[in-house]
Amino acid sequence: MAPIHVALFCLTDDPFEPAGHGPRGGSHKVMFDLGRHLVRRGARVTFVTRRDSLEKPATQDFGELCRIIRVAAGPPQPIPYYRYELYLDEAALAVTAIPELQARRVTTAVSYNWNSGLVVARLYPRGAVDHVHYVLALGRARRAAGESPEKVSDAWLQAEDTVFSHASRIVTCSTSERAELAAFYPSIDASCIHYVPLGIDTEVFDRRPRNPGDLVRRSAARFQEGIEHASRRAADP
Amino acid sequence: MSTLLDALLILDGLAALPAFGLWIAGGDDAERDFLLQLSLIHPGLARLRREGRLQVWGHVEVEGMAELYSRSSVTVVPSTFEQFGLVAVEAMACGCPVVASRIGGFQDTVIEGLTGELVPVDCAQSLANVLTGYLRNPQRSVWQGANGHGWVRAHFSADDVYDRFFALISRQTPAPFPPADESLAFRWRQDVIRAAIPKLERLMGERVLEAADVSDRTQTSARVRTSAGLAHVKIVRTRPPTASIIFPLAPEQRPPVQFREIIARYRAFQESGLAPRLLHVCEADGLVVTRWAEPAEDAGHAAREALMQGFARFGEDRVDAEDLAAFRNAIERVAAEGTADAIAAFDAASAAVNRSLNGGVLRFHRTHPQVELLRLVRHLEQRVWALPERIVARMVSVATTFLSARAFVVEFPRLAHGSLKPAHVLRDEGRVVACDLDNSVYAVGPLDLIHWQHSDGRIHQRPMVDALRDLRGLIPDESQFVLGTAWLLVYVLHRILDRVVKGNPLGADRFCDYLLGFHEAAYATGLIP
Repeated sequence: MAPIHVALFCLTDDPFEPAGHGPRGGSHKVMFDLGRHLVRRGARVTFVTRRDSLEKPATQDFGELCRIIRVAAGPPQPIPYYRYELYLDEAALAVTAIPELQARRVTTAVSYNWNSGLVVARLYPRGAVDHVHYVLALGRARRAAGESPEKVSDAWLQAEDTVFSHASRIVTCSTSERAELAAFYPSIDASCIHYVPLGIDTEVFDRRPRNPGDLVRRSAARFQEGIEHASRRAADP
Repeated sequence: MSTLLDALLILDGLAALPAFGLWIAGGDDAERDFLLQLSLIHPGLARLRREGRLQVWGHVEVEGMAELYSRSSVTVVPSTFEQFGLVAVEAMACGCPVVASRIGGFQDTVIEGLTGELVPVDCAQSLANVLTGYLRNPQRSVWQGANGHGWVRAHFSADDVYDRFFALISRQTPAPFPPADESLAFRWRQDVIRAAIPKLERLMGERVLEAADVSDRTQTSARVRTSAGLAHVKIVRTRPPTASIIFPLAPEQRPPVQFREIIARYRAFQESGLAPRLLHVCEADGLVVTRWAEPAEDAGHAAREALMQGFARFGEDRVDAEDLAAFRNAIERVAAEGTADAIAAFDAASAAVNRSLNGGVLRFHRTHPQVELLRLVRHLEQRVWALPERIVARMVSVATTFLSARAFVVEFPRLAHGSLKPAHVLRDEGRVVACDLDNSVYAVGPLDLIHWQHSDGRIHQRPMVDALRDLRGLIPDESQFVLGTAWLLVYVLHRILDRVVKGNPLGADRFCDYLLGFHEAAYATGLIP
């Protein structure tokens, strides 16, 4: 059986950029981690992002299952997140021209925040692919919390309507976000909303050993976790 | 960021705090430069930077962040808007507790009281007060850090989370996380209980057929069913004593609560017939197994009286006579001098009297309500907490009014359950027994009666004048009435502080409002002549 092909749309931030550089936070690393994990599970993954530096290759392959495509949309430099909407038409046009992103070749399109969600909605007719949308920032909630129209534009709010009606599944990273989504968009079918928290690399983020005994305990704990994880996989492949 | 800097300056102005520093990590170059400029202009921040207590790191690579988290006592995330808050999860994974704003994803990741605390958004005073609890007792960071480490590894590792996502895009339905009817604390306790079951089966020599969470706020416990019947299992983990989070105590006064202390109590009460029968103890795994005793649904005043008399009988001959004499002398000295030295000497005498309950460990206990009122006044005068002036004024007013109206009652302490309420009364083969003996203490005055009368938050339901009239009716002896009223005030005042250091200013306000009725009640019942 052919592997599922997941296109991960992360236009606002390059998922291969480290966290915390320039205007970026760290949530785009979620797409990086997710893509890596999907490849490990045997899925074919195509990252789609905006080319924000001419030093970055437009296309890069990582083995047979993974590719990143950096589309030309807007200036090849980092821009504030609230200015991305100016280049969405360019981004939508650019992705339309990429054969490997055509509906018949993609099983699932995962979009990360509203900009990417809107590009996916323009690229694929509703129902042509399985569209899973990661919310990450809800414009109406931010506007209600007092954010200015400059930061949360009307275009963002309109895009949310389009994206939420296009996506087959909507993923929220917190229960409060899920509640906000239900409150601001009561027409969304609750069964389409899924709460999946963000995850971290526990190999990187771990307690520093306080004494030599800690090193042994840590090794033992990792070994045990590996066994448990493998057991779960075996039980539910 | 301004909230954090304001909190830093508030902390810098508080008394009885150990030396501390703040590291600000993250942000781009412009943000770092702004903070550095600010710390040059602002005199308070400039001094803290000169002293090396304020460090602005700017952007730090991911691997470096793990090092910073690991070397910190607490990670503060005072965001005003956050969908998820990866920083909190990263810090907990590194064994660092988190104090975060009560918003967004933090409410799904930080378990209040177990892996950190949540504070109101943009409230520097609350943030400062919560941080005092970590600075005054480093053991709290160690304990919550260990909790957070396990919590994140169990629920937020990338492998587990993205397995769920894979299930989603594979058109499977992932199990909801968390189930809607489960709190984070419940889920955390489930992890602890699940991890304990194999050890428990080895200890009991029986297969555990069913385990239900019957924990209270601070202690993880389970009701387990085996083929031999029902048992109660207490899963004991080294933890900081509650008082050490509120009060500035010397390190020797606040050793973490160890297994041997808890088991010493269990064994002592076992002999007295006041506790359900002890079946198994495993010190290495921190497990205490007792026979299951059913809650006494009809627990009323008769049950309370039986238990109080039992505790009083039990306590009579277990304390060294010299320790008792020293305790009495220490009260007299506090009454005569009222100084910090006299209170410190009383605390030492109080610890000595109670060491038989603690397996020989000396620790701080609240054992005389008038001493506690005096201690509170001294701390409030010193500015040990960052409290609004109106709360300080009301607390000082109530405590000093009481202290000036009534002389210190000098008497020997008696054993009390320490947290006696209907929910802690059980029936074991017809006998009335008590559970949750962790708070038992040798103390002066009718501590258990006061706790019973006002447990489960019922204190708010009636005006204070009615509460004091009830006490008059229940306690005919004048000196015991004075002590009972003092314990009632201590009960309320400590709850104000408890809410303050746990980031709940509204809760503190509610208890403070209750104090409004004190003067009227005191005159009406003759407490103030």
